[in-house]
Amino acid sequence: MFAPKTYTREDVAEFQCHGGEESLRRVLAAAIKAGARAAEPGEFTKRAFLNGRIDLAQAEAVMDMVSASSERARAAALDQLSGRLSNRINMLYDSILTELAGIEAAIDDPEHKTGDDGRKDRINAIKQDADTLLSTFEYGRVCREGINTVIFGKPNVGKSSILNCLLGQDRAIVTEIPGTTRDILKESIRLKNNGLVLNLTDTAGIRKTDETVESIGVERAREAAAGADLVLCVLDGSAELSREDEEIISQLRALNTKVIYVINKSDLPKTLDSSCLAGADIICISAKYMTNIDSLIRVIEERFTSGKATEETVLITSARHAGLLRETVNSLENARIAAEQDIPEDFISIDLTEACGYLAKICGRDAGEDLVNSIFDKFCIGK
Amino acid sequence: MDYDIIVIGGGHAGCEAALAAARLGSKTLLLAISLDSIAMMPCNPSIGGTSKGHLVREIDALGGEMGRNIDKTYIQSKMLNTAKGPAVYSLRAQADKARYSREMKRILENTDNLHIRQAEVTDLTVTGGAVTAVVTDMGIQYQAGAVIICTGTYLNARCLTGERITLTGPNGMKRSEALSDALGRLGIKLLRFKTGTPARIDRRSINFEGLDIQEGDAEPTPFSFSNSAEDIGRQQIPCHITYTSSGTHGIIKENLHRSPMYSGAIKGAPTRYCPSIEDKVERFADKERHQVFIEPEGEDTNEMYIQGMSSSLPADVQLRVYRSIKGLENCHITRDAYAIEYDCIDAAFLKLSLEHKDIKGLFFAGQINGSSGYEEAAAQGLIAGINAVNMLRGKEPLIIRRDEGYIGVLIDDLVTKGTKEPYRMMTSRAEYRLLLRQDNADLRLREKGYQAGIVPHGTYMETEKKRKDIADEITRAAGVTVPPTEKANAFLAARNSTPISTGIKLTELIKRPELNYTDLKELDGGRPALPKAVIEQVNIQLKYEGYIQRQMKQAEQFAKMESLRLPEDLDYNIEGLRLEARQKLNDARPGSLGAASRITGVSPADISVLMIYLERRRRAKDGE
Repeated sequence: MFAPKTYTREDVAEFQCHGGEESLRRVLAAAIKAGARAAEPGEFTKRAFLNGRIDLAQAEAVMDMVSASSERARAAALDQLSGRLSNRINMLYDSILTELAGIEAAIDDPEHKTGDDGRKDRINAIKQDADTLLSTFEYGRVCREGINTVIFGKPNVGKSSILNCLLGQDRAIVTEIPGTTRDILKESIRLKNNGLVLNLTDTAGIRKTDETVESIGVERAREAAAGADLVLCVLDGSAELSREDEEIISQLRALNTKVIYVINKSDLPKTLDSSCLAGADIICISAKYMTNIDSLIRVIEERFTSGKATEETVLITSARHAGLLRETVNSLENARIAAEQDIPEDFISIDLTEACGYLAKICGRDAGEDLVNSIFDKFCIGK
Repeated sequence: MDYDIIVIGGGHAGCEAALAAARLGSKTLLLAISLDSIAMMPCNPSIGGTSKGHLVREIDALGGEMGRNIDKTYIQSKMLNTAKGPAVYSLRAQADKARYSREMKRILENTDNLHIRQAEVTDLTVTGGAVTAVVTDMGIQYQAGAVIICTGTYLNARCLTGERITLTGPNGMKRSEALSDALGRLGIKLLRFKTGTPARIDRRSINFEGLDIQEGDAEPTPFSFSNSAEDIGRQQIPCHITYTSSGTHGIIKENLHRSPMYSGAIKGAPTRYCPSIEDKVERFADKERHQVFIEPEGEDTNEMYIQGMSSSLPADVQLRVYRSIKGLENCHITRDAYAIEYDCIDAAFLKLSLEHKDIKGLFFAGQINGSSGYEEAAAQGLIAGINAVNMLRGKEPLIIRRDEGYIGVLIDDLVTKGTKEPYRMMTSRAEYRLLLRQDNADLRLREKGYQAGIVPHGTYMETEKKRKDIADEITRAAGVTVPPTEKANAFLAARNSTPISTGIKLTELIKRPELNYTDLKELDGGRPALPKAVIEQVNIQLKYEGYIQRQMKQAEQFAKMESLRLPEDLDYNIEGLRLEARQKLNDARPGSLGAASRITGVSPADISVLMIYLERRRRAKDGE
């Protein structure tokens, strides 16, 4: 196929082969012998982007499509590819630009009166809008990467059994990556109802041998929990809370991570006093008899489907986009504070210009040029 | 050689160019179509205003004439935007047009090394890729090492009032015809731009009763850093404000078909900043009325400039339109409004020094580069004048960066981005405007003017003294703590400021919006006596420290990209660059990676590719 009507806008040769790995391998070997080389990861998309075939957001979307691990992630990538994300970002960008143009028009034409009442409220509304979009990133990311889940608790509370129960619930094991260290094991399963992937990390290997290692174990558990999307904290329902349990609970409370307290051994008489867990998600199960595992999965699904990320909303799935949006929100917050403190509006304009600059980086626009155009489009200024 | 430098045109660009060249010791000739139109103001009677005031301040800091000339000839002075932050304070003065022009001519006539002569330039001689002479309509050839073209709106100009078209320059002046063709023969691409001016009205026919009065500032601020308020004190003349009516809009709508803008007679690209009244009525149909300013054109004339009412409607319609405005019901028009169309060049073919990329010694400045406005023109003229001398002397050109001055923004925008309409300076075009204030133009640029040789040593030393005083006072202030005394809290209460219960650093207290450094002297016993200009700088630098720091960081990043030089002979057919970017970059041949990133059609991805390419090239060279 000849350029430019190809994916990369370069000449492309495609081979359609008979099935079977051996024939594929031989075709590939022949091509390499003739001077071809294997593409680097994402190289075709990179070339498509560099040749102007697709824009940056679209290029990122293609990469997401390729690596999409769930139906929802695939849909989000499709949205982005079709420009829905760009539209949403553009809307946000335009609303900031309008506010900015109002300030700038008044500066450049000081003797023409322009109404600027309610600026603080408008900036606040834009900030909340940006916040809403940013908040979809958490869900967007778990759609793409799966829910990174850490199971932990003291030894012998049934962590490994619970892992096995969860794996047994859905035989569709997506990947099986051996633990990077001897004592951490990672497994992935797909949840039934929302199609999300649960990446389970079992900290079963952390064992108490002496006091020093115990403290190291708690420390490591805390680190793992801090980096996770979800912690399944397993407690033994048939025993009273130990000091170690209490320490773990207080550590978890200090974190920002979602926690579900799984009280195991519901088949035995309940001795555990769960009053100190008031307000937290608690579920009682019996790993031994596989009771209530369905409820555990339902609770997990609820924790990751609720909220603002409904099917209609655009999802932020790229860390780059989320980073820029976070900067946008910060700048808008600075603008809001400045407006509240009655700081002259040309200072507010510094923050708003920054916000526009960050969004412009997502959708590849020229913020300076757009601002000048917006001033002239929206305001009748000039001699 | 007859002259070192020849300047074509005696407008605001031409005057600054010729004065700069002559003051730097180059033998200079200024040729103008009419010596009566030296520094003429054919449109509005004011100098300065938002962002333009910044330009005038910068011109003054760099040793230009405009600031001093308006200080001598203003009839009203006003600092605009004082309710906003110091970055957008903007000085504007109403000029006595005739005196402004006469005074500038007097300066030119009395400058050593400078000849002025009435003549129309009809041709340029270019030999071996360098300009060597100009030819006038009298058939006389003048040889020169450099030529600066400052022809404003005169090239192939047409003035349009309704169906009537006159082949003149502004204000009925003789236009220039042959020079356009001469530029075309040199392969210089010409664009067609359009601008316009409102009617002038006899003061005696205006009923000022009931109109808002706009007075000047009680204590006027001089444009020139060399002048003090006392130096320029004088009786000021007020302006007035009125509004268009529904009647005005009705007449315009009924007669729109007779406007050359709408009939298609005008081909030039209009400026959005200076819309005609018919444009405003059409584009902002929901606006019930538009503001109109009545400004005197001078002390000794009854002609009044009607700002906001530029028009190209036929004269009979114009009269009805103007008479539909409150206060102007019985007005007599002294000069009709008109639109003017003219040739200008695509400044993308210039270097940042304003020299043509391919024709050595040929410089362009002012409205011919696609700008609009007296101040924009003067700024370019000054830079072109200095750089023509630098070129002849084999010195590096003077280039003001975007983070150093509005002049830098102006020239970079014109040269790097190019413009599709008459370009007007705006504060929003300056990315680092908190650093580029009108109050610190001397601190930013005097040194550059001194190094260029145009700012005298004494003037430069004054600025350095000021810089040191500011730094010393900021250091001193950093060590001052205000104790929570009764006196302090009474002072704060009087200014609606929260009382203090513990000692607070002066540098913290000053950050409260309701306080300023001048007043805080009451709580700052050890403060030495300091000039007002020093106090002003200390106030701004301490009060807005956080924002200033942020902008300085941004400016540092910008400067880094600017310092990554691109070789002039670089072939941009680089693998990975998009085709559009290759073409644009090969055409523009930007001087730095930063400039490359500002070219329309060059994306951030192209810049990444370029950075990787340059790095590879550098390593390959190092490996050699």
